[in-house]
Amino acid sequence: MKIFWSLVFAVINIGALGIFIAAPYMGWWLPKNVSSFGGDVDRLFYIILAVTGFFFVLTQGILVYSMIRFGDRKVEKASYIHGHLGMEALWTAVPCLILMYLGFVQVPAWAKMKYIDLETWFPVRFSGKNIEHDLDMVVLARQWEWRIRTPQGSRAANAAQWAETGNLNDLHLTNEIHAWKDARVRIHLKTQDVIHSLFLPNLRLKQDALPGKTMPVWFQAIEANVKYNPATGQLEELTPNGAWEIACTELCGGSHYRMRGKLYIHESKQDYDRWFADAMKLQRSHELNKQANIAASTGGRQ
Amino acid sequence: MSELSHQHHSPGFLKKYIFSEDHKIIGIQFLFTGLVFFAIGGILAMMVRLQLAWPDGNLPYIGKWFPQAWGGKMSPDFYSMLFTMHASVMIFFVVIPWLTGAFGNFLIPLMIGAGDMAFPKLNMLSYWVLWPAFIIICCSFFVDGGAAGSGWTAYPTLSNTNAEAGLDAPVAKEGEQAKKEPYSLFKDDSRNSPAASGSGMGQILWLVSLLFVGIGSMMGSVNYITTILNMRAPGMSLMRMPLTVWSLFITAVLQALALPVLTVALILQLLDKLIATNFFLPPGGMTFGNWQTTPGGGQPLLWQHLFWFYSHPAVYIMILPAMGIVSEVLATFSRKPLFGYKPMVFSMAGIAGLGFIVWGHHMFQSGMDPRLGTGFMLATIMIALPSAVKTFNWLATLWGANIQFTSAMLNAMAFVSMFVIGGLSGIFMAATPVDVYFHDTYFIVAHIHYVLFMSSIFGIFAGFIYWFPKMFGKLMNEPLGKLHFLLTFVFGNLTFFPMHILGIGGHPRRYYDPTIYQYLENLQPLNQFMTICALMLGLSQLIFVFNFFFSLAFGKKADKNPWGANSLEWEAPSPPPHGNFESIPKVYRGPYEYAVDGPTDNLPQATPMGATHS
Amino acid sequence: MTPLATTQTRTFANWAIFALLLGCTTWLGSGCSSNDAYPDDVVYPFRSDLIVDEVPKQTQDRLPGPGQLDKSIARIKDLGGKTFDPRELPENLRTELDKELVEAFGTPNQPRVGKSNSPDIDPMVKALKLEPESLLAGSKLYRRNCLHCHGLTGDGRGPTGPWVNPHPRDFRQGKFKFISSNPTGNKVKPRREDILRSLKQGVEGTSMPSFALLGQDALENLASYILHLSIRGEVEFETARTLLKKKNSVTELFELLPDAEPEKETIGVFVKLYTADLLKAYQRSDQKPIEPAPYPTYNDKDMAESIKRGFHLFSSTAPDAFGCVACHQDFGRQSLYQYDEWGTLVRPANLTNAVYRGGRRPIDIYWRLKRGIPPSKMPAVTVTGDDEAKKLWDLVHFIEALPFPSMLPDDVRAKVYGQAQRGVASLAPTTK
Repeated sequence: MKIFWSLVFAVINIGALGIFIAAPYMGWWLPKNVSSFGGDVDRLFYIILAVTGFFFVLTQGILVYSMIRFGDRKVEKASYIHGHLGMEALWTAVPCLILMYLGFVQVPAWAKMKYIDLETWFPVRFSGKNIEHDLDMVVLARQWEWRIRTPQGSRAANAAQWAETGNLNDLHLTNEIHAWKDARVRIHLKTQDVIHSLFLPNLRLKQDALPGKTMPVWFQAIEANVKYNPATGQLEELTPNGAWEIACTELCGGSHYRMRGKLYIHESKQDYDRWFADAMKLQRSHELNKQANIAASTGGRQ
Repeated sequence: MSELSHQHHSPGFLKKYIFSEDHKIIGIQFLFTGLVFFAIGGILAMMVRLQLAWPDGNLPYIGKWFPQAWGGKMSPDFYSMLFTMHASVMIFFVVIPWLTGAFGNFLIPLMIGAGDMAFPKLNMLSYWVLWPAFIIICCSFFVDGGAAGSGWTAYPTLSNTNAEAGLDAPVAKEGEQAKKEPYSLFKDDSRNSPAASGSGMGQILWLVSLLFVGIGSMMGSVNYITTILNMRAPGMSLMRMPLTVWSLFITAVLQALALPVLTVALILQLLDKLIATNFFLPPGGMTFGNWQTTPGGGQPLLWQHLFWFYSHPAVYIMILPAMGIVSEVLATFSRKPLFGYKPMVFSMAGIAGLGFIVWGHHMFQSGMDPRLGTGFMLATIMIALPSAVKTFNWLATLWGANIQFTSAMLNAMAFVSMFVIGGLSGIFMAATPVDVYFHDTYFIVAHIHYVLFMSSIFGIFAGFIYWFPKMFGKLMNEPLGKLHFLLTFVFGNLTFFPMHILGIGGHPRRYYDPTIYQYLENLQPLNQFMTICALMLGLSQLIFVFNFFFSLAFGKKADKNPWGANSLEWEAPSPPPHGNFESIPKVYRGPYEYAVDGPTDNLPQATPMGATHS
Repeated sequence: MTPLATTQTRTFANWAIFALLLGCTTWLGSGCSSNDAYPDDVVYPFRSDLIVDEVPKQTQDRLPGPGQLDKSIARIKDLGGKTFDPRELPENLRTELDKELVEAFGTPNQPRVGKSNSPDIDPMVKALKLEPESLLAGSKLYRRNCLHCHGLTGDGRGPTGPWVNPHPRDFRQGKFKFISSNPTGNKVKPRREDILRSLKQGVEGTSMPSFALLGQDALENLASYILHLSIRGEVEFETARTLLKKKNSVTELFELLPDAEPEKETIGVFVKLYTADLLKAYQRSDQKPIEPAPYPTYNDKDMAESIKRGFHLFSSTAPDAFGCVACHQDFGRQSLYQYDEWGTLVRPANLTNAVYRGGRRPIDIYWRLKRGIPPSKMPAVTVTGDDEAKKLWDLVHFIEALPFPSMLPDDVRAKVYGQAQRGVASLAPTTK
């Protein structure tokens, strides 16, 4: 009996381990990271994976071994032992130290992502220096889409006021975030109805949007995925990088699943500016566009 | 001195079996109603899984049950309702009633050597006050707009908004100016919400139902604490109580302290819905298309704090009694003392205590100050420690043991194994930068189901099998029990483990149709696989239900102590009569004296003999 | 007392139960398919909600609440409007109409427009991209993306429909709001581009999201399917309404087609001819977009003057002005709700919050002015000849500048926002 049951436990646990090992090769793993702080997040993830993986193997191994070694024994009785102070001390102290290590090793990453200067809304490096930003953006989450607004000239003067009121010459986009490689983007995240959450898997970015507040969010993408072709008016993928998408990760009603967007990182600021100028022209159009594809406020591209 | 029997006359059928004040009957009542809701919650989960696996397909057979106007599939609002009600039913009407209601009620007096609870009438009420909750939650499926659909977490403003609108608006004739009347929620002829269809009457009924559940739980916890502190048999010091009683005691304290906050939160949200208060509605109002809401002055984040202040201890309420049960079962079927009694007790206390200061880890991304997040992170990381200590103690109990592979033992060992997985996956979310990625993805869903289904429910099954003889005087069928265990273990793992992988891939929660995302496309086969396994898992539970009722009718008769265990409940007949014991037992030792020399390898607590250990 | 000894499991019974479970799952699982088309037994049901014939002229300061769409339409007849109940059609007429609609338009998973091989409509069907293959692709996309709001027949009463406001468009009257086609006869039809634009941009300020990410091909198929639903719906609507209005007289139907010469006066023939008529109207609309007047160049000073003139056109009720403020009271901040032709309540837009449902490009605003929004009772401005370019662009300039106090000339700003700059415009409507 014990062999059968030990096997059941062992097979399941080995299967669990196996799927974790196989997952990256099956394409079931973390999406590509293109964020400046994403590397820290991923590194932390792997550290925790290693620690938990070790304890997983250890504890399940002891369990299965115990089942085999101490199951259905032919002895009269088991060993009579109520406890052992030394063992207790060991398995209290060692996990404690490991957990404290995990607790402290992650603080810099959190600081890098979230500690922001409340004046500039921009990340304060651990040493205390402010970082300048390159691009302002308002992301208005609403049931059930992302309305995005970027100013002419990329940086908004008097950003707080601009985030509230906007300008006629802002570019309005729906479900598309555009930036360029290495741009430090400052997002003013708002919502006009319920709580939504801006999730950019490739940037390891997530922030809930709270009604009644404007949440500060920032990112810097270290890789590009599109190039703008002024001749065709299309965005061309640089390499098959896969889709860099936006999702909503806070239940916001029936079409919560449908708040899909795309993240476009242009290969350079010049490329972004060329695209922006053309998109703005379309948005400020006074003529009947004789082409078959009337662009959306930017361009309804794939 | 505890009274053994306070009934001086033979009660009628109604008083004996329906409005019984006998803790055993009440415990069994909780058991049976929990079983019904287990089925309901399970069906809701199955429908969720069917939608996830084939979001666009024609649901076979079930598709025909939806209105034809829905085109052969369910609507997204219906789906929101499904997962909301699945979670609400499972948490508030299955796991908590089973653990605290069924086991708590049945076991505490028996295990401490009392004749009944300290407050038998209150005990009876604590069960019957749940019936309005049952009826209301079932009715909520049939109201206009459907049952609540804003998640079991019911975050405002999705859950609590009212539109500044109504059919009875003043109407002006042509050419005249329409009179402007101030908006009044009392005059509005509907309670419907512009945010979601289920956030109208459905949400109101959900809130009221949960209020009743909370009241019942608070009644129960008062009872348990008083009984355990005051009615222990002579010789039963606190450090001689079985761990099950300790776990129920600590759980009761958790409930008593945390539930009032949930009650307050529910009432505040009800007031928002019913009389247009603004506790959770932000200043400036909100816009839902043409519907504008009145400006509020409150804070949606406040709900999250209040809700999670209860709901985090709630998850410990849902695991601690199972841990206690598992300690009991493991010791009995290892024929070996439980390793580290005092550390086990202190760990449970540590989990409970720390459990009060970690609620913010559900809110790391919510917009609260990140520095607050760091504080919560440190506490959350540390709460892994007592859980680890407990796990090692269980393993040490098994080491050097003489393991009997009964169905109860298998379920208990599965608890240990699965709790390791659930606990370890929690560490990822405790680390705030990693939580940025995993929050609201399937990684969380995996964690939830490993600690709740794969741990608590296995603990509950172990407890049912272990104490079934004491409750009903019959033994559950062993081969069926083992078969049920095997299928549940295998299919449970196959269903829930791949959710970790989905989460790593970034698959968000609560999604009606994940296939519209390119980055989730290659994860879809996993969804389909999990659905099929979930179906098998659901069907496997029928074996348990069959076993339960079959054994009730035709099970082998059980004697007083079929497992050779030590705690006081095994001194009473199976099932115990009203008053439990012929005479109050006297306790001579702790509950885990196994592997002793003598005619049997165990030494029950109430057996007078020379040697005493602790 | 020895513990219960472990017993051997009855392996045969175990395996039998396991096999049974596997069988059940396979059986259940095999019925599931990823086929995203409508099930075969789903048909377009005959309409059972009220047909709105005339709407009341009252105004209200409040909307009906969520979930009250049909209740609110039912009140119309008590407020001076007129509705008909299609369920009051005699059984035989209803069945016949239903049959003819199925013949002409198919079922959701086999949609078509007109019977195949009809030489009189085939070229139009092709020109409007309404071939069965496009419609089938569109039907699948519609079921996946649109059904839960816009409903099976395009009635705007999908499961989510009554719970959002504005309600999803009811396509069945063949009316659309944000159109850019010149009027053709008495039929007001959108261009295909108008439908595509709404699909791509979404309708800002409503629950209609942007579907640009579906890709151009998918959007074309969707547009075709929407036209299909609209044509089918309009045929059903007009037939039912006329029959109910004219006491079930089939002959009266043909009053709607003065130029037609039907060989027989039956419902079937009417359906055929009316469909052809509608197809002609859509085709003509496609071919006749409104070309805006050429856009003059402006420098800053000219622009300020233009905005001032636009302000005058907007807010004055003199004969040379347009008097928009009569409906867009207080520049839209205090507009009252009135009934549109679908029987729902709408109000003239709040133009101070920079939310434009039909699109925010200047040409979109121009089209709203030049064409009006017929079903919502926004009239087109009447302006001819030389005046057109100047006046309309002036008004467009004013409307564009209106949400941004800093863009308005001082005196205009004072009149709109008061001395203390009352009313901060934002993306979201204010609560006033």
